[in-house]
Amino acid sequence: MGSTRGKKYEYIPDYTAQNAYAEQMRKDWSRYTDKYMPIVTGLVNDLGAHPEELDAAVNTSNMKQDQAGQDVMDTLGMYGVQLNPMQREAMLTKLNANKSLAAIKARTTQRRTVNDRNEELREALVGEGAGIRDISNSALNSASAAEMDRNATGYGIAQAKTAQSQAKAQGNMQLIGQGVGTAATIAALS
Amino acid sequence: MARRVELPRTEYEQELLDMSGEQRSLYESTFLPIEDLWLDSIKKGGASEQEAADIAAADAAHTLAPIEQNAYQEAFAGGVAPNSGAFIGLATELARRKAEGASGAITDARNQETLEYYDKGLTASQYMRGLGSESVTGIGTSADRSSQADRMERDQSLFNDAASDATRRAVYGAAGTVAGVGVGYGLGKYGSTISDFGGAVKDVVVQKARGRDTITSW
Repeated sequence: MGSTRGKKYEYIPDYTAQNAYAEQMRKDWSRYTDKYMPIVTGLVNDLGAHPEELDAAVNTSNMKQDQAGQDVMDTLGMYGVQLNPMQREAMLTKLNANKSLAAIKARTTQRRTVNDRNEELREALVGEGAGIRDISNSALNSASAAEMDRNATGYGIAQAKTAQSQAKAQGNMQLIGQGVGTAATIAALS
Repeated sequence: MARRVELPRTEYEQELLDMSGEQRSLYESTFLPIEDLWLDSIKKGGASEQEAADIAAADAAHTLAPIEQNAYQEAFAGGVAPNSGAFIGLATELARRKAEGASGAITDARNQETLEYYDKGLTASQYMRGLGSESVTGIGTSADRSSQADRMERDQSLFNDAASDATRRAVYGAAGTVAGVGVGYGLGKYGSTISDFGGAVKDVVVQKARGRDTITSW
């Protein structure tokens, strides 16, 4: 006589590739946030007037102009030129004027350089920002799809459970009916 | 206890898994360290900027020195005397130009370093976008496959439960039929006795309900 209880079979799924894929994607996302994002943040933070760069340009100019004054003295000394006080005074005045003009020029040039650079960087960062926005939208889109999927599964489970429960109740009613019916038939026949 | 069903991985699946594993391992062991070094080099200022400025200063001095020498030689050849105002003016002007050239070269070198930093940073940002996009797509796909897997597992469990219920109902059905046969047989055989007994019980119950102690018929 065969068994009255049927066998149950369960498929044992293999998620090796899927798990490896998800793990790699998470690792990559970590690199995105930990390694790359600070670089872009650094670029964003670099937008600005940069007064320290203007000062550095002026300092370099002053330093080189001071050195130029010393060079002139050295050159004149090398050729045996002796400056009288008036010549010395005139030369120092000219060197000082040169120094001031050079400092102004250095500051102005550097300010323009910083402004132009900022403009280009800002434009490039707008493009990068659009890419980051796209990533955010894409992630949200996936989350929304996953959510819909979960809801569909939930509806499916609820329906299946209802069907299962109703089938059970119907089966019980059928069973009672069948028993009573059989009993009545047999009683009538005897 | 359920019996297990397993499907072995196909040859192609395994091949793809191996290929992926090998390439990832190559990427992580060989290319990732290079990428890290490159990423770490994306910084503003620091030693590289100072080095660039020093090189620019040295280059400027190296380039300007012979120009200065030639200018003096040409001046002397043209009859300018070292003691003359022309010579002093020339020396002052050359020194000014040299200073301006050198400081300009140094500042330009620093600016160039900043631009190179921006270029590298923006290149990194492009790589970052690719990486972010790949990761989000991958995690999105994983989310999709994960709910697909959950659904399949639940479907399997619900199917198995429903199948078990159906079997149980069939068993109960058979039991019900057997019980019905038994009850029917019993009723057939002892039906009249049971009926008489039932009638007597009914009368007693009715009389009790009407507050009478004696059984009377209607």
